[in-house]
Amino acid sequence: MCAAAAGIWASAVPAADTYVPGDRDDPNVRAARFLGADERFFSALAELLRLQVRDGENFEAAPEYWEALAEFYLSFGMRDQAETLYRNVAATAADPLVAGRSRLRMAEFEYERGYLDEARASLLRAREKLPSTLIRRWQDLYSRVLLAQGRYSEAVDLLAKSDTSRDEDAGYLRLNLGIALINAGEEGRGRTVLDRVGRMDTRDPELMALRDRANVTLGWHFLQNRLGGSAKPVLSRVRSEGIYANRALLGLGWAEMAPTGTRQLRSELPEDERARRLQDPYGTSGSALGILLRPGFADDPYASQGIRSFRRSKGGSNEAAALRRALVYWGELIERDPQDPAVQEVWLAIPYALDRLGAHTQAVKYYEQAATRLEAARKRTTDAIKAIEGGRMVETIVRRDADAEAGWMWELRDLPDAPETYYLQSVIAEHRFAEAMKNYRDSRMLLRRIDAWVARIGQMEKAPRENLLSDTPDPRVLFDRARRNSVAARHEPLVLRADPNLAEPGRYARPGPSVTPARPVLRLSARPQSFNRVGGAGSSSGGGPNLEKLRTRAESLRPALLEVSAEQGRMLLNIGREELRAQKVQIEKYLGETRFALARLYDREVPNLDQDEFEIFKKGEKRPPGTDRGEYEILK
Amino acid sequence: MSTTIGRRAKSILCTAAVLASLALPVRGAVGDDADTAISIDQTIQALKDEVVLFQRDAILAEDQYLYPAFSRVTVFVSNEIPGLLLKELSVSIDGQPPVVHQYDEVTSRALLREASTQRLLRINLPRGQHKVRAQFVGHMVKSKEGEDPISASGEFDFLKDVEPAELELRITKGSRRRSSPALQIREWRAVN
Repeated sequence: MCAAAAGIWASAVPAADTYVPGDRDDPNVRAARFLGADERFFSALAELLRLQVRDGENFEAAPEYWEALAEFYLSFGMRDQAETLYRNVAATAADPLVAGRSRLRMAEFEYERGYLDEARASLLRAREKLPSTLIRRWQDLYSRVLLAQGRYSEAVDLLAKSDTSRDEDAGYLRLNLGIALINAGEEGRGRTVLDRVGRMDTRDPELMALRDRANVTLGWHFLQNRLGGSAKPVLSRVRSEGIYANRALLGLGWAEMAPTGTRQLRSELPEDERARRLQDPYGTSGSALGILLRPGFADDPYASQGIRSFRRSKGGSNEAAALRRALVYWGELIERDPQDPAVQEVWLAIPYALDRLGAHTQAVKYYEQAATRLEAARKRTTDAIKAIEGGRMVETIVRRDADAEAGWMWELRDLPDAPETYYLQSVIAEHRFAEAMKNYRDSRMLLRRIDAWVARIGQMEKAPRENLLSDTPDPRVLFDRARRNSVAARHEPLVLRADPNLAEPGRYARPGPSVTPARPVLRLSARPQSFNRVGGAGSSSGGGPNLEKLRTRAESLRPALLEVSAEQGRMLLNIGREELRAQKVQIEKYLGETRFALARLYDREVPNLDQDEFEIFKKGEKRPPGTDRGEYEILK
Repeated sequence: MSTTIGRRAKSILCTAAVLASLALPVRGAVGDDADTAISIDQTIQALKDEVVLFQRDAILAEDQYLYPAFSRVTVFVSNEIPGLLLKELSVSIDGQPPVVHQYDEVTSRALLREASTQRLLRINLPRGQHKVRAQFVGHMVKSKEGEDPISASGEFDFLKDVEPAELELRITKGSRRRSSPALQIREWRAVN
């Protein structure tokens, strides 16, 4: 059933509309735009470039054509080709928004691919004449470039100017500002900024993750500065289920045991000063006159803005109480993700606390459990390294979207169900891995296209073109047929004879008089070397496309693609392997500490026995007569 | 384990969205690794350029070979109804078996973009009168589940001469009197 079905009716196609090749009405340009909208950038590029060749020297395209070409080049990851076109687009675009967006897009590509100096230069160029609606985006991108280059002070200068609103987009900028301030040595302001992000009121999942990140960063910063009292309230804000939960729980435990530290003051930020001035334009707060003029407004505006000092949790009255509180947090962690370094640290932290509490037997039991779990984790990591080296993970990711032509715009939408993916989750999210993966994918896709073309060229070569139209012979078809049916040249005279049924030209009513015609000597000539040139990049000097040349080009591209694909694959493998090796080193470090602690505890379990006597006792042997304590081991 | 990984996979992708926006250093932007990454990227860019040009030339050659200009007919389709997502479109010429194109949401939305036209098919036809029949089925973006689909058909006569023919099937809102969608056809000619 159709809700609205039109009856079938026939009508004649109206008179043709005209277009100039390359203008906005050209259906071929619009077809390329469709391919671009469908993220088939490779095909879109080929289509647009085809139009240039098709129309030869007369080709003059509308600005939309060049904008689309630049956009598709960059979307497919071809920065160098895009840059030249974007410069022209930016110079000629009537709408400054178009020019601005294209420049920012270019800079974003450069940043993500690691061309940091080029990204910085592009952004500085883009800043001039940038529309106000794009300023925030420019600031965000430029700050990330500066931070990636370690230019923290410059990042602070930039971000401090942009930190003027409380809208959600500012959250990312604020977090970056907080990190930049701390790295630049302005810890006070940095902490205050991170605290603001950490107290953001939001229900957006991404912003909640951002908030958790800010609280974990700030909380561990306090811990590293031995300010456990300030760390605890901050870490308590982190959600108990989330990607930062484990790190927060670990930190909360350590915060219980760390020195409380002095109360930390928050710094006044530019927006605080502005808010304070709005509330108290005459600066009367705190003064006697102010209280008289505005009863009830005696409270400190710094405090009312929440910018006086960080909350400080008071420490426990004794170490035992602190240890017990730490165990409560760490108890939540012990059965969580066994590959998470925070969980692995807790496997040691719990018996450490038990040991300090005097529960040595329990401590031994948890250390032994930790040793078993760490051994298992080490084995899993070793297996994951072997799996990575087998290339399975990368191939599985690539295979899922094998023929996509999305280039730089490709996104990893889901992950293969493999352990090595699980262990590399943080690496997979990084630009260096993601961009390398895109390049690897693209090189494999291009290789498949080349192989497919070689097969198609082979088919075209084997099967001569058959004209589908028997009543309209195509001269090129005739040539093909002639080539196929050619016989070896015979170097002998051709014999002519008069056909009595043919009339002389001009007199078709009756045959002409019978005469003996002159007989020129004719011989078959050699096959001509060339015919009229048809034109076009793919054509030969003959009447059709030069398939042989195309095949040669394809076959020459293949080895280069194979080589670069292998090189990019090795790079991906190295990134994954380095990460897993680092995890393994950490696990082995924990394992070493566990064994050391166990050895110490085993010694402690028999405090009244000498070491040698313990050895003898364990073996069930008695000390031989006549030997003194300590000598048994030597005689043995 | 697979369930745990499935959950983790989702959290990974959420993490990626957050981390991608944050000031994490572009790791690999360190010494030799960064240089290697850039060197490979440059090589791949150069190869992409060559392969794109090869693709261009291969398509041109194939067109010349299979669809000579004097007999070539290209059929395009465009969708001028905002919010209409196509599900299927079929085109048949001179009663031949129809060429049917199925659409997923991504492709259907791509067709809704401004100045977006899809090349449906290319065929060789002799000079003379020909008949094109087309039909589409789709639904509106805001339609509820169970709602009847939207469809329309059209049949058109066109005259093929020695020049390559470019026909555009347009899905439009139809005339003012008709609120239902309609198929129209438009022929294009390039002028130099």
